[in-house]
Amino acid sequence: MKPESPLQNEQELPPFVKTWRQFYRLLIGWLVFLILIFYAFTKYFE
Amino acid sequence: MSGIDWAVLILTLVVIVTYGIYKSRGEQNIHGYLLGNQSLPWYHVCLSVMATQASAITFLSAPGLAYSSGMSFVQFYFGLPLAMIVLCITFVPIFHRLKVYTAYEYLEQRFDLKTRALTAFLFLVQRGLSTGITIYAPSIILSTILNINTTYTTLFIGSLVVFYTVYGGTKAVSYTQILQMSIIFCGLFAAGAMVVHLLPANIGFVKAISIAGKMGRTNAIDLTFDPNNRYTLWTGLLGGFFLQLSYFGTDQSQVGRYLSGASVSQSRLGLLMNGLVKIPMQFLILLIGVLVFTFYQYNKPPVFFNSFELNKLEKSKYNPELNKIKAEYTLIHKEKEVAVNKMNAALDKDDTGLIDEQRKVLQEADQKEKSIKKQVTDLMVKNDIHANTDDNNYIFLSFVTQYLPRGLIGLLIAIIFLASMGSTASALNSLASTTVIDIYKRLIKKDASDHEYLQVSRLATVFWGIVCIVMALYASKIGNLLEAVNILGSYIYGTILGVFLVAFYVKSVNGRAVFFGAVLTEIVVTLLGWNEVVAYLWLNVIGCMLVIFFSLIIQTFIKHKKNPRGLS
Repeated sequence: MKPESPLQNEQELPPFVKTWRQFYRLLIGWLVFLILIFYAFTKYFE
Repeated sequence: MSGIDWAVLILTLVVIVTYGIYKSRGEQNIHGYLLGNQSLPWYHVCLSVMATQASAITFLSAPGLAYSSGMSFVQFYFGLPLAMIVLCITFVPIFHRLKVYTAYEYLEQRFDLKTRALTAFLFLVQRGLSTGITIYAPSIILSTILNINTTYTTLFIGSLVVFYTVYGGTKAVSYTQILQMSIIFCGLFAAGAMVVHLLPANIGFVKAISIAGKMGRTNAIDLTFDPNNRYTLWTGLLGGFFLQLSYFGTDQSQVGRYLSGASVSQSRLGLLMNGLVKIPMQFLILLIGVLVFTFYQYNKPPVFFNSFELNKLEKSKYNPELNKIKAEYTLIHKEKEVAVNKMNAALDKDDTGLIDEQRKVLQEADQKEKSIKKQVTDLMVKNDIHANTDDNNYIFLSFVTQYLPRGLIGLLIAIIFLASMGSTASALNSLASTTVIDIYKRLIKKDASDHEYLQVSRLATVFWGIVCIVMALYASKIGNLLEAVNILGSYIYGTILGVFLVAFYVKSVNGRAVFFGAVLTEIVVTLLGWNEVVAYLWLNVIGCMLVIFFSLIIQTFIKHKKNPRGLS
């Protein structure tokens, strides 16, 4: 049997935002932002 | 390399290896050795998964890819943030709750032993082979510097990594990777700044990118729908998502990393931060390749970047022919330099007509250079049928050793070593975990002592180290290393991911259906990949979907056979 982890806690909240769902949305937003930036980069320098 | 470079290289390696060994002291049980007692904070998890994925191959091949075909490779990582989200919602809480050592343990609880054994076996094959390639990449460096065959350098580096990994458990690997990633970020920033500094006085950072852009090297986004095009937005989002999900969700070398997190939240946060940082990091690495490309428009690059193969040809009977080709190459480069200067002037004037005109001239010169290179590689094959004719992995390396200042060369070479050691250590650790937990402990000896499992783990690490070194010796016959690793992964990852998705989301399917579904899928995917029917990233999607499809069909058939009239 594996020993218990002392900090095992699923209820810890993420930093900067109030819920994990908000963190996931933040990450999706970041991805969209990066794609748009890279698209602009491609168009500008091509 | 100068004395200062050797001193920086040796000092960095000694400090890192010593630190790893120091941190691994006192790890006397299997839980500590394989999972680091699940005590690590999120930033350890984040840097550790990044260091595991970013091997030396990343730093050798990616700039080379940008140099020769542009930045489209960045799209390969677009699926990663999405994959991190799915992992955090589903995989991480389940693996933590069930307190598993390996991802495959869960499959026995959900399905049966044979499904667990099949996925563990597929992982061992895939990771065993690809780790060989990971070891081979840094061995190229020593071979170029010392001008000796990669066989000897592969043996040296492989042995060093195995030695370090056997001593260092998961915790030590994670601690070491923090230092590694810090040094890597600093070194890459310094390398990028140096390339810009080495450009002609009238070429700044933006101008350098503009020139490369006019020659098709800034193509970060490709919106076309051609299924045979390897890197587009769609292959990156869809194929990349499936590949990253299966890599992080089912490859023990990554599962082992985030399972060492102190809690579900620490593991989650580590993965999500990886999702935030990974794409910009990869973009910057490719950008360095683009800057190196512009640098070589003003400084004649070698006719072939792999100096070992070039020296071999120079010493052969084909040297007179090679000299003729070199003379022609010099002329073409001069023409190209004139055209680049005209392009620069056109960019200053913002003269669209002139820019288009010079673009055509430069593209023609680019084609001529490629044709010259083809003549050189043809000669190489004539001279030695086993010659390595792909020099992509040598482009950045050649630039570093020839143009960067003393000290920085040593640091960048140390970075490539460290990156390789970090990812190889994780891989060997995960191969040992799977061998011990899923094979030895489950099928061979169930009730051995903790000490015995620890000893078997160390022996398994040595065994896999030897296998990987042997594989590395064959890696020189494969083209671009980074792509080779990803292609190999695409043959297997989709199938394994399909099994896990069925486990998580299709509760009606049982072990027998998913097992035969996975076997059928692997046959189909191998046939599709072997015959190059679609770009390799799509194999992940196809593999995953086929497992779900076949499992459902087989499950329906099993139910029907048990109950032909459909009676409950």
